[in-house]
Parts: sequence; C-alpha cells; structure tokens
Amino acid sequence: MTVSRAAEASPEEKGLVFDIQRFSIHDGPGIRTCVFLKGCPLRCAWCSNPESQGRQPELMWDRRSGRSTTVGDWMTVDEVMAVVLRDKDYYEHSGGGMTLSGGEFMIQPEFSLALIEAAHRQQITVVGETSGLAQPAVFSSIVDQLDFVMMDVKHYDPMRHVEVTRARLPLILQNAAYLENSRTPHVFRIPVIPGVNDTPDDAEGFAEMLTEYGITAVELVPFHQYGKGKYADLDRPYGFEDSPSLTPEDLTEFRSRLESHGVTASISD
Amino acid sequence: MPKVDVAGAQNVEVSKKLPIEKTPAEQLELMEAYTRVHSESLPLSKEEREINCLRVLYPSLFRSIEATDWFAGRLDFLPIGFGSVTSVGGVGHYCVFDKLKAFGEGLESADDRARVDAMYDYWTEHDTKAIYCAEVLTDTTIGRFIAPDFPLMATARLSGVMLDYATMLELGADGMDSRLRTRLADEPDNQFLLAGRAALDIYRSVIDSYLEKIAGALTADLAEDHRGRLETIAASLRQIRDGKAQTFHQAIQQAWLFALLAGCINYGRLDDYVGPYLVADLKAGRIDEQEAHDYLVSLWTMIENRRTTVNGRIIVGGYGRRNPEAGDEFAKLALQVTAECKYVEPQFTLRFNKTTPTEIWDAALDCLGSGATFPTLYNDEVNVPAVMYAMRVDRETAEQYVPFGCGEFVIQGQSIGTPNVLINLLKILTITLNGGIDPMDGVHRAGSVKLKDVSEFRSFEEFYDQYKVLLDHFLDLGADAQYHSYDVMNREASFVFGSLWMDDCVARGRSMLDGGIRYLGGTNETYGNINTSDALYAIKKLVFTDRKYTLAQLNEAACADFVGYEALREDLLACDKYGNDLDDVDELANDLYEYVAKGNRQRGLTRGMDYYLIVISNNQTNTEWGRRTAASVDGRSRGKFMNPANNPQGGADRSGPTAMLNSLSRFRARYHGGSVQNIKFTPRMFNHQRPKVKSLFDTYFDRGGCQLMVTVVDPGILEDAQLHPEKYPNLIVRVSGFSAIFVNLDKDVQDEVISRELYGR
Repeated sequence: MTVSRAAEASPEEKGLVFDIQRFSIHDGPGIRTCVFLKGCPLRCAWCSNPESQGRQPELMWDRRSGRSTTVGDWMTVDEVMAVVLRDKDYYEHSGGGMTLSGGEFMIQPEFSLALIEAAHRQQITVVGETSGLAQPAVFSSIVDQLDFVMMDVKHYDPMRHVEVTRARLPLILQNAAYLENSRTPHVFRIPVIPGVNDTPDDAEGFAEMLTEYGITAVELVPFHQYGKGKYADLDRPYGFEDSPSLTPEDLTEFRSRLESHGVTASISD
Repeated sequence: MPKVDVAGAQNVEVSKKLPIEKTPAEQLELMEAYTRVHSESLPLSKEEREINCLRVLYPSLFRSIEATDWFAGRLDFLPIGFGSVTSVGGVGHYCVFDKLKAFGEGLESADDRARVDAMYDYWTEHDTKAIYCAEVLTDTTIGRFIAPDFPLMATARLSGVMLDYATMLELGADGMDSRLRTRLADEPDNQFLLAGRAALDIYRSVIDSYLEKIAGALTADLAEDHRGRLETIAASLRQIRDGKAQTFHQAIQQAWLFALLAGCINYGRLDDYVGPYLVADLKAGRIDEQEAHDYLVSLWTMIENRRTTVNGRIIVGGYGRRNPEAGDEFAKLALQVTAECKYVEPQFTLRFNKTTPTEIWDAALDCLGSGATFPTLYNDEVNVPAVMYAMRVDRETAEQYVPFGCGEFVIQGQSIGTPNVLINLLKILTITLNGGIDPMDGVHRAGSVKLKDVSEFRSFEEFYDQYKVLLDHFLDLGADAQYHSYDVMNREASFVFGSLWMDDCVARGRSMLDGGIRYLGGTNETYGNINTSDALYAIKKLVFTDRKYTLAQLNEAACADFVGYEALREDLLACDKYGNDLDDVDELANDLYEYVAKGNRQRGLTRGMDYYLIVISNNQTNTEWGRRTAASVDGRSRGKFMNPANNPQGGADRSGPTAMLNSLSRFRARYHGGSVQNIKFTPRMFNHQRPKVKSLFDTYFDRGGCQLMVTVVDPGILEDAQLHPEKYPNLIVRVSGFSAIFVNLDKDVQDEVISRELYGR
C-alpha cells in the first residue's frame, strides 16, 4: 500500500468521520477536539465505540431524538478543520489541540495526513490514538507527523490477542517497536478488561513482552461501561453486559506486579 | 381602572423567614401604631411622616442577640412597616397584604381580626406598591410582579441600594451629623436634611436599646465565651454610637446596623471597606485569625438568617479598591468562611482581573469545587469598560460597579438600578404569531398595536419586523413604568436612611429619588431570550429557507401544543440551537439581544434616566413565567420553563462547554446591565481536571466572557434528591441569580436546573 503525501490529498477528498468531540480532556494533553474516524481493523469485544468499527455509514438508534440516525459523515478536511478551529484559543491556553482517534484513524491514511498537515498549518498540535494495527509504512509515515501518540496494547499472548480482538499481535508489536524508537513522544496504554487481561499474572505477561521491546512505562486504563447502551442501539450483542467498571483502586495490584517486573505504570482517572 | 390584585405573592421566596420574635398581640399593636402614626402624619411632609413612622418600628423591631452572635442587629419586619425592597417587607410605607391577611386569620378574637381588616382597608389606599399598581397596571398588557399572564410585569421597589460604606466608616454618626448641620446652616428648613439628623437619633436609640439589653443579659450567669461576645459587642456599640469605628469588629457592626436601618440587603465591597481594619487589628494583636474568622461566620449566619432568597451580596476583589492588599487578606478569610458555611446567602461574589493573586483564584475554585456555588465570578476586564459605556461613566466610577440581587449592576454608593420592569420576549413572540391574541389564555394582549395575520408574511425579515413593532410597544410601556415607579416612590417617601449614605443626597439636600442620587439608573429583566431567538431561527430556516412548512403551520402546531404534530416538532427541535457555537443561530440571538438592549437603553435615556439597561439575570421567573407561556416554535411545549438567563434551553446545547461558552461570550457586555451564565460540572471533572477547567475559564474570560456561576454536583444526585428530599437537606444549587437548597425549590424549577447540561458525566 502506498501512502500519498498529504499535499497531494485533494481538498475535496473526504474522510468518514463518526464524531467530533470538543472539550475532550482524556485524549492527550490540555483541552482538545477529538476527531473520531470511522472504521477499525480490530473487533475488541469490550469496545466502547462499536459504532466506530464499520467502514461505511450505518444506522443507529438515537435515544435522544427517538429516531434512527446515520452514524458516519463523509467530511472534507476543511469541514473538519472548521470545527476544530472554533476552540483554538482553548488549545493555546491549555497546551491542547486536535486528537485523531477512531475507530482506527490510520485506516484512512491520506485523510489523516491531510488533517495533520492542516492542523499544523494553524499551529495546532495533533495527538494520535491508535491500536497500532496498520501497515508499517503507513504507521511510520503518520507517527512521524504526529506530535504525540497514545498507543494501546491489548494483550501479550498472541493467541489470546486474536481471540479478544480478532486481530494479530505481531504487526502491532512491530509498530510498537517503531514508535518506541521514534522521536515522537508517546505513551503505551493497556486497557485493563475484566476476564480478558486483568489478573496479576496478566500484568507479568505484559511486562515480559513490553520490556522485550524496550518499553518500560505504560498507562493503565480501567474498563468502563460507557459503550454499553450503544450495542442495544446498534442491535448488536455485547459480552460485557455484566462486567463491572473498574476503578483506579482495582488496578493497584496489577500495577505492583508490572512494576516489580520493570515497567512503571500510571493509572488514568 | 384595572382591577389590581394587591394580595398576590410579591417576590420569589424560597428561603422561609425565621418566626417573628414578638407575640401576635405585640405585632398587632405595633402595626396599629404604625398605621395610626402614618394616618396622623398625612398632613406633614413625607420626611416628617417617614421619621415618625420609623420611630414606631425602631428600636422596637430589633430582636435579641442570639447566644452565638458576635454582632448586635437582628431585625424582624411585620406585614405593615417601612422598607426598600420586597424581600424584607416592602417598599416605602408598605403593607404585604397576603401576609397581613394570613396574620389576621391566625388571630383568635373576632375583635382583633376586625382590627386587622381595618388596617387592610387603610393600606389598600396607602401602600406604595398598591398606589403604583393602580396607576400603572392595565387589564391586558402590564401585570404586577408576579402575574405571569402578562407579557410585561412592573413593580415599585428600591432594590440593590449599596451604601457608601467607606464614607460611613470614615465619618461615623457624629461626622455625618456635622455634615448635615453644615448644610442646614444654608438651608435651615430643608426637610430631608432635618430628617437625616432625626434618622441618626433613631440609629442611636437602637444602640442604646441594645446596650440596655446587653446590660440586662450580663447580670445573668453566662458561659464565659458568651459573656465575652456580649462585652465585645457592647464596647463596639458604645464606640460607634457617636464616633467612628476603630476596629474590625466596630466597622462591621456599624455597617451592619446602618444596612438594616436602610433596608439594604446587599453589602457592597466588604473587603475594601473593612479589610484595613482587619489587617490593623491583626497587626496590633487586638484579635487573632481565629477571632476574625469567628466574626465572619457570625456575620454570614446573620445574613443567611435574613433569608432574602435572591440578595445578600458581598463583593470582594477587582479594580478600584483603595486598599487592595488588605482587601485580599479579607477575601482569603471570607472565601474560607464561605466554603465552610455553605449557606445560600451571603451571595459571595468575586470580581477578578489580571492582577488577582493566584492564591485567591485557586481558593475561589476550591470553594466552588466543594459545592458551595460561591463565589460567583465577575470579569473586571470586560465589565469595567462595559459599565463605562452602558452607564455613561468614567473609568474610576465604573470600577465601583457591584452586582446585586440576581446580578444587576449598580455603582456602589452612587447609583440606583432597581429592576422594576420584567419583559417576556417569548410571550410577545407567541402573541405576534396570533394577531395579538395570547394563545395561552385567548386574551388580546397587544394593546393598540395592529398585527398582520400569520399568513401574510412573505419573508423572514417581514415577520421579524412585525415582532419588533410589538416589542417596541412593550419596551415603551416598560420604560414608562420604570420611570413612573420613581415618581410614586418619591411621592411617598424619602428613604432617609439610605439617602444619607448615597452620593450626592446630603450635598444636594435631596433624597435619592428627589434628585439626590448621582446616577438614576434602572433595569428591565428580560426573559425567554434564547427560546425566542431559537424560535425565530426555526421560522427563518424551516419556513423561509427550506420552505418545508408555512408559518401558519408552525403556529398551528404550537397552538395545539404539538399534539398531532409530533414530526413537525421533531423538525423544530432538530433545528440548530443557540449554545452550540454555530454562527447562524448565535448571530440571530445576538441580533435580538442588541435590538432589545439598545432599544431599552435609548428609551430610558429619552425619559431622563442616567441609564436604563436590560439585565439577563433571572431568578426563577423563567420557570414561573414559562408556566403561563404558550408552546413556542423552538419546540418548547406549553407551560414549560423558559431558558435560564442567556443560557441555552436545557438539553439544547450538545457540543460541550467550549461551544456553549463561545455562544455565551458573543453578547457584548456593554449593552446590558448584568447577565449571568450558569455552568454545571461533576466533581470528577471540576476537581480532578482542575488545570483544564481553569484553562476553560481563562479562555472564556479572555474571549470576552463577563461572568460565570458554577454548580458542582455528582451525576444523579439532583434526580435522587427529587425522589428522596429527606436525604439532601443541605444540597445547594445555583438556580440562576441565586443559590438555593435544592429540595426547597418547586418541582419544575428543580426540573429546569436538572435539564441543564452537566459536564463531566
């Protein structure tokens, strides 16, 4: 797959956006506007944005209006930037900017690169939130343009990884290695999911794998139930119906085990 | 003449008053004495009449000092008496008819009830507000406050008088007396100046009476700390009876007594006028921080106990303080006490600017984060220049702006800005759509204005212009009603105690409303602003741009309260709404705002007021008036609350706080006399993401935001409090221009507060 240079992306070129969230405060430093691109190569069973997975617009029940609405708008770079620019003052005050998220935003590489360039032209920094699953050439070309990267690592056991995400681990690890050695500031995050990867033994497994790639610091993200209602709205089954949300306190032992194996960990609120 | 209902509720009263100390028999006697003296004094000058009547009330109505009080001065008021504002009694010589009636009904003897009836009859002719109502109200267009069937409400009151406390402390009673004597040397018969001297005698008599009470109390066996407090109070009273305050305690005591006597329920820039006494006392070791803290807790409690619901302002910080360092010392202590007390009053208010110390700003946010709803935040960088333009004053004067009540600005010690008119922009829109008939009750309420049928409009502009014609009519009526309230109040009273401490009454030898006040201002409270602009936008879009419906169809649906028109209503609700940082809707909202604000201001100037501004600072009238306002074409249903102040209708803003604040900061502050902005956060966001919340606020204020009022509450708590009120006796929310114990609010007022977006869920 070749990646066209951003400058070559025509202004009319559209990306599939499923949400733009202003005053986003959990997606990188400062006050940010988070642009969620639709489409994801993973199918994490606990995904809190199930409407983000498909690569086409889809119907979803909107409880607020009591009607079904289409999730996913084809938008131009200018259209996205028009929203992003509304809060430029807030970014400047807080050290914030734009965040690209998903889905997996790298699934739309040309559009992502065009957004990054457009933001940079306005002196707006760009954070990328990624699963790390992309062709290495795509991954590296985008990472090199970003100001900060937040990359998830979901499991350490390749077999189990396929089971819970329906995606293979090795490519993700290859990209993780690239990121760790790149000049782009970054953080690796582990979403800690009950029954999937939340035991102290799991922590040990993560530590072994991460240190092998020279990664010695992670952020732990406790499982939450924000996405629960969406499965019903999409008329899709959800396997985590009865799993309790985790609190930072629940992850104390997990963190200790990581740390005793050479990986420092913070827990996000 | 229209039939005036003198006995309806006259103000928002969420906090219930403490029971009156005097027995019903004593109250009856006192009210009768007052009525008799008033009647006998009718042939005299209004100043003499006022003084004679005040002598009946004071010191008699002053209550005992409570065991925990650090200051003397708790004041009851009766259904008949003298005052300035409706929150504590009434205005001028007043009778609160519904309360008098209830009082009469509580009496056992028929003779006593007949005595009450006789007074009731007398006051229907003499109560200041009843006189005003008889002269101003109409059958269909102007109603009394609160008569929500009308598009316009008018009242007589002298709200928000903030005395020149600094001069008061500089002069003391003797200093003022000598000033009066000097002036009297030139004008020996000046009734106002003579009344001023008599008022000072009343002040002294109140002090003497308290000194007697204390002397009596000290003969009993008292706990040591109680005895100590009484001795401190007595020493202060002896000093300030004639002389100037010399200590922190004396300064507060003096300001407090004069505020009570003047009927003032807002206390000005307390940090500036008592801060220096605090610092001097601490430095000299006369008191320690603990004692200063205890004074303030007591003062806060005494203010809370007055229970005005929507007043009790104390302002700290900002430009134009003579003693900023001492003021900041006071402000820090006061913030601590505010966070600790968690009362709904005082309405603790922080004016800030780019020089405000970080320590104070952080303490203010911590106080808000604790759920206190205070301080309310006022941005001097925006408000000072705005006030210069709005009130046509120089910078030095504008720096003395203070918000009172729900957020109207006055110049401390120099101006009157009472909101005696309230206008419902949304009701006027529903009337425009129906050829002058209010669809709520079928009454024609457009006065003499001829309106076209809804089918005749060919463009949005044509319709908007028609709306403006009716709006103009009500703005005219409003400006007349405001100006006339001053005539009536001035005819009946001099408000001597207040006038003594307001520029330039003594210098001119005239009371406040008789040409004494330096800036005769006024305010008009506007309601339904955003519902109206959203409705106008929906008309513009759906009727004249998309041509999806005719105007008649929209109106038909609204008149049916959307029953049978559900899909049309969905389209109305789906239209872009103010509060989402969308240029088209926000520009229309701003256009309407400027039209109303400028039109109102100009009408006041033409009639001779120094300023007359709209305020977008509602108490809970947005809900009360909404109950009697028909369904509107923004999709709001019949009888539903209207939007609070200039915030979006609850639920209409879906784009997060930056978008909402961007919409809010669009209105230029120079055209209004106070506008309040509510915002609600979870503690999780407000306290755990504090740096980002600070950035949010800083940016909003840099972008021209004038004000913010913050409620911090966990998700689900308000909903749970509706179901289990007994679990939440102390849960405070910011309603709009006032804070309240949530469970004391009416159900639909609670619903309105809940409907507002809660950030950080």
